[in-house]
Amino acid sequence: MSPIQFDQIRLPRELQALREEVREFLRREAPATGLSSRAEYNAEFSRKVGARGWIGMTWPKRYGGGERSFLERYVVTEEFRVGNAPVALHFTADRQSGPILLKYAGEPTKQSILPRITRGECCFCIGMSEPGSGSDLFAAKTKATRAAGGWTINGTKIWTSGAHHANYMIGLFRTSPPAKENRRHGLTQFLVDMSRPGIKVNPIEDMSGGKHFNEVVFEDFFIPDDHVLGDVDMAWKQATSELAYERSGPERFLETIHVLFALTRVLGDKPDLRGAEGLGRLVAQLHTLRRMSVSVNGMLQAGKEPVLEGSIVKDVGTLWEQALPARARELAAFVEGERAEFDAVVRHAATIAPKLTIQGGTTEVLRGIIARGLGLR
Amino acid sequence: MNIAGNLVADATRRIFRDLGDPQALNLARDESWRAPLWRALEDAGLTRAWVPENLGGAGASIAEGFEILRISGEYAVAVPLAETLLAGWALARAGKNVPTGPLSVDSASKDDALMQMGAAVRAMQMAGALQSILDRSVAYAKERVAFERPIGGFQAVQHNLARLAGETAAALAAAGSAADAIASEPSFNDAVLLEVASETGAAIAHQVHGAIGFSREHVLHRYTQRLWAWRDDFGSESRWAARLGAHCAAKGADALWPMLAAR
Repeated sequence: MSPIQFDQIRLPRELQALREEVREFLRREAPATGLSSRAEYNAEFSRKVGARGWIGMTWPKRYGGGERSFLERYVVTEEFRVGNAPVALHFTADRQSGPILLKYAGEPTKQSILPRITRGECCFCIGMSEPGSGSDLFAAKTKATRAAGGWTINGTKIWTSGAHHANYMIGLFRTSPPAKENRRHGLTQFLVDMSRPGIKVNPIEDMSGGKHFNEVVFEDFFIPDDHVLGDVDMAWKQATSELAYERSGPERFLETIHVLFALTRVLGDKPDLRGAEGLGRLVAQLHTLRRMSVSVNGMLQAGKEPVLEGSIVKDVGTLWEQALPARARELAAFVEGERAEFDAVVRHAATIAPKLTIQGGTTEVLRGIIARGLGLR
Repeated sequence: MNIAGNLVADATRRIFRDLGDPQALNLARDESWRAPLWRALEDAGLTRAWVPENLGGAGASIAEGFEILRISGEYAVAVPLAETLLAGWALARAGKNVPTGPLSVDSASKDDALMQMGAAVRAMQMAGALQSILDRSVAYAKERVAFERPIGGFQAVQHNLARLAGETAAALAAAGSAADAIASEPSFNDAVLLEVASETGAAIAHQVHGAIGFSREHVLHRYTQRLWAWRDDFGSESRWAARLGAHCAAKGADALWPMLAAR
């Protein structure tokens, strides 16, 4: 029996109605403003998305969720990406912070925060990397020490996307030294209220000129006991099943998708054989990636934990979206005439491409996870 | 797949395991394995799976037939099962009688529906073969010791095998999608979307196996050589890609996403 199980799943036809609904909404509410509009924080837009019930779609109704399927969420996520909609404010909370809270937060925390996320009023960031620990998550040093009624945090997180907008962070802090027999022991997940004193967010400019990620410095920052997520020292056991959500979505191969549309446009309606073959391959590959991602979402819906399969989607998908600008540039190399729009789209995509195989788990880390899934580790 | 479908898959697997094991075939000195294997497939109705019962076939669904083909790929099938299935499908579709015995089809036919179906058939066999290549390569990497440890412990080898897993998953998804499209829309109006990953997959498997995988006595070449042959039947992936690309270009950029999203 192969350890890899991609169930053969097709998006049910009846989801086309939901897709049309989302497209209609985007035409009205989110006319794409520019190449990077998806990275924008737009409070008004996120509130409207929340009002439509498209945040926390799969969560229980008692926390403001929609109790809808992972495949419905897949359709909404996909259309938002393709429509270049400004989802930055709510997307992290929708994709991963909310599910973590659902699983590990106490009841009062769930009741106070989850409904705000689903209304599009609550922005989350993720505090994992530190100046001395990136892919090697378990080398994190930012310390949480016992205090009356809670914990005191001292240290620095880095490359934290959206920290300058976030209301909350889910942070990974060291509560005990690593154990001799298990170096992953001793880290705990916390809910961080970014409005409390003792926290400083310093922007870091990226190579595309954007200021999306940050350095976050904690100085005697207090976290109450009821904001501990899960078991103290045991974060390493908790980080697994969420990864399937985080890694398998359509946002893991649609980040540069506008290059494909611009390529189709610039090649014209009768491309030469080279252009046609190249375009056809890219379209077929994208179709295959969608099929794989839909499969993982269908498996999530069936209550499985496709962690290995999710890692495969991110590995193959991010490499594809990263290579897309260079591939399109080659295919359009001999196109004469009007190509300014195409060139601008490719240039922009090329400047974001390097991060795609780093954020949320590098290619190298993913391949280690896949190798473990194959029984090689 | 329903219970009947699982029965078909189980029967296929049992026959190949007992009578068509690629390692045993590879070491055999003669062709004496051929007749019993074919007879077993025929007796189980697998060679006529896509022929309706009233024409003397097994009347299996399109999906069941593709599952037979995927499993036959796992065993690097050495008898013309796919060709006979496909010929039966084409003859029955034309309302013609299906003769007994192994059949063949023109893999460069002018019949477009046959070419699409043939390409989907080959894609599914290739996906099955890649699954088996992945399993065999992983097993070998755990067994083979070099530099005082199993080579599967080396990161470079692990990463190669992780890539092979990605290629295999993609091949399965592509073939599954083609099979599905045919089962649900047998009109063949749209270009069937295909992308097969044979090249990279075979290259990684050979690299992991080293010299032994290049030897005639090792079973690996039965798989990789079939992958290389199959990918050229019924139009190479380049030909299908060019056709798909021309189709997308003609429809225009604004139609591209709606077309993809509807599938």
